[in-house]
Amino acid sequence: MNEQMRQMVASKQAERERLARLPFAEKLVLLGRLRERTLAMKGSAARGRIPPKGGTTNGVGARAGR
Amino acid sequence: MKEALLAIEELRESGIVGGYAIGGAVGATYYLEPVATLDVDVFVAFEGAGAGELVSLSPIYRHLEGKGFELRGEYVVMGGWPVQFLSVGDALGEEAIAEAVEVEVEGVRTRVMSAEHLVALALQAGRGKDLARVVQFVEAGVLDMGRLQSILERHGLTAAWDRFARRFLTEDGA
Repeated sequence: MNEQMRQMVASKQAERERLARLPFAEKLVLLGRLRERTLAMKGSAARGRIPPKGGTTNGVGARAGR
Repeated sequence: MKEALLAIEELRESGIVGGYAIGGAVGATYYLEPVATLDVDVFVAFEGAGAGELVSLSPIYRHLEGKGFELRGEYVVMGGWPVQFLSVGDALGEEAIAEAVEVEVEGVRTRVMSAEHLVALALQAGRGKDLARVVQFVEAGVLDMGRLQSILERHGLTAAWDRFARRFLTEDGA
């Protein structure tokens, strides 16, 4: 592992530790935001993945096809 | 989430469940950095029901529906969160509830499984994501290894731990 990579790993670890030390209430707020993002990504992935007949995979056609 | 925690605690206060503990990713988040999840797992025990005994969760659903919460499949949507209630099926689950940690979130009392019980249950489940969570617990250094060892021995999970350790733990501890 080179020095740049070592620094990156160390900084990620430090951030994880900072997040772990937050009060539970604050972590629950972050969980809510993570959940919203995950749902948004799932939605956009699903729209892109299942093109309707004659539609596209950019989401627009998929929505129109449902 | 506060609304969900209040409603869950009320289930215990009103005697609808004998006890409960938050497990899964939300439970793990008490000890670790926030772990992305789509739902809340709440393990429940009923007064008088023995481990492994088939019990109905209907009283919980009926009560919460009566309070105006939306039922969606096996979930109850509370404060925007889908909450899944799971009846404990064995002695490990019962113990996890009995020994849960009482915590307060914005003035609401709730119960979270101990880190060691979360790890034991994850080992028991044994899926990739469960084992990844065990690695996180070990790396975070939040486990009382003596307590974990005793739980694993009590519930026949020592071999599962040995397999896990051989596969995932390196010489420097994680």
